[in-house]
This record gives sequence, structure tokens and C-alpha cells, in this order.
Amino acid sequence: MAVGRMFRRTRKRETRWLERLLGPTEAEVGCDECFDRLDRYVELEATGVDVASRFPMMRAHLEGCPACKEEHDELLAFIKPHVSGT
Amino acid sequence: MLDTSRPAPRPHASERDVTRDSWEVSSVAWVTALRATGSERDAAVEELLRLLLSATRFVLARRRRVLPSFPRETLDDLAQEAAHDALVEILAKLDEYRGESKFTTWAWKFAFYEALETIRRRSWMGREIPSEEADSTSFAYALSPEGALEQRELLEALRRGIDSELTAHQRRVFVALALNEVPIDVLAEREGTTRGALYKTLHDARRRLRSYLAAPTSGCEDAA
Repeated sequence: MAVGRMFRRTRKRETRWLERLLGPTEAEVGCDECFDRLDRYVELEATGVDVASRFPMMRAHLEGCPACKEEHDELLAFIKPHVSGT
Repeated sequence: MLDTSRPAPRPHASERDVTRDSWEVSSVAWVTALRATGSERDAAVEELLRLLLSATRFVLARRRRVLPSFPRETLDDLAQEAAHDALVEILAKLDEYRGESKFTTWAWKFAFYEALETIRRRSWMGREIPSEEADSTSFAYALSPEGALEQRELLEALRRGIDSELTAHQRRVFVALALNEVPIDVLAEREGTTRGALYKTLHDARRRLRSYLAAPTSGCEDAA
């Protein structure tokens, strides 16, 4: 089977290793722009806004950049109790 | 002290109290106090540092397993250092705060950036950046028997793509960041460049490899 066809088929399956290596296919922001927008993105996310749909280029970058994703996850975990008031 | 409808954070309050109280302080009050002079500014800076420290301690406590050889005191030193670095950045960039989020959220992102960068650099201290591909078995997370063969072919095609499609710089960056999961800020420090520049290189390398793998003639025939 041609690799091209196999590649397209594999990306629809449960195995994620190739997707992780090759990153998001959508347009994405860079690390600097991600950092610039991160506070607003996380705050909206913490209040339940569908940020993935509203800011697809941010979502794509967070999918492709483990360092920015880690900073996002920590900030979200930290502010969520404040936003929810618990 | 900060002008707020809520009481200012209490001296010797717990970290949870400090962050909760500071969260309620208005963003305008924060910026006004940090732009003031004299004792008002000093008090705001001191309070901001306490706030940043609560964030850096939070992240270092959650990552203690990554730095198992560090005693608790050293971890707290790292938290203090990261909080101070974040404070310097924030004061230098105060004019860039546009009020799109709460001031505390904006400030905390600097604290997390500094703390996580510190952790990544510490955990890679003294380690060489791998220049070879990682063992391919590490990618075979959950291969079903029927999928294993075609995914091995994909892996071989990926290897051919890395060799034939990428420039030497793209290959080095892709091998380090994607295949060996070297943290991007660690590689940036070793190469004397920035995260943004490295991610652009990674992005271009990934795009080339995706195009190569998606092409009908990406080399499966050669591998057969």
C-alpha cells in the first residue's frame, strides 16, 4: 500500500504517535504570540468558554508545543478555583 | 496599599488566602499601585512578589518527582528565584498589560513560565542533547498486531523523510524536540536562540514531513 494512503488512514485511527511527532495540521500561532494571549485564553477557558473553537490557532499551537501546553495547563489549574469561587 | 473594596491581603496569611485576596483586587488598582512611587509602590511590589511565589511554589510542588534529588529547601530556593525573575519581567513589561484578563492572571503566566523553564533546565542539567533518533519502539504505544506492520512502514518512511527532506538544522531540531522530547527552552539555551525561532523551524520541518508522507511516491516501494 502506498505510504501516502497509509499515512492518511493511520491519522484517523487510535494511534497518536505520528500525529504527535508531526504536530497540528491547522494554522497556528507561534510561542511568542501564544504567551501573549495565554492569560485571556486561560481565563475564558476557566469560565467555560469554548476557547478551542473561538481561538483555533491557539488551540493548534497548544497541541503542537509541549512547553506552551505545560504552561497553559498549570495556569488553568491554578486560576480555576478562583474563577469558580471555590 | 492597594485601593480595593476588599481588605488587602493580611500579613502572614496563608498562600491560599493571599491568592484569593489578590484575585479580588482590581486590575486597575494593581497597575496604579505598581506605577506609584515610594511606600505605595514598595508595598505593591512586595505583595506581587508574594503572589508570584504562591504560583512558583505551586508548580514546583507539583513537579517534585521530576527533581527527586533536590531537597525541599532547594526547591523553595528555585521557587523564590523564579518568582523574582517573573517580578523583574512583569515590572519591565507593565506597559504591555492591556487589561484583557485580570492583572493577577497576566502576572501569574510569567511566574509559571519562569518556574517551568527552571524545572526543565534543571532536569536536563548535565545531559547531552540527543542527536540520533530515539528507539522506534518508544513510538509503538499501542500497536495492534494488524496495524504494526503498516506502522513500521510509516516509521521507516518517516526516517527516510527526515534524511531526504529536511535541512541539517531542521533535522537536528526535529530529532531533538519531536523524537527525543528535549524541552524547547533547553534546546534554545544550548543553541543560543529563542523558543519562537526553534518552534518555527520545527513547524517547517513537520510541514515538509507531512507533505512527504502524504505524497503517493513517499518511498514505500523502496522499503518493500
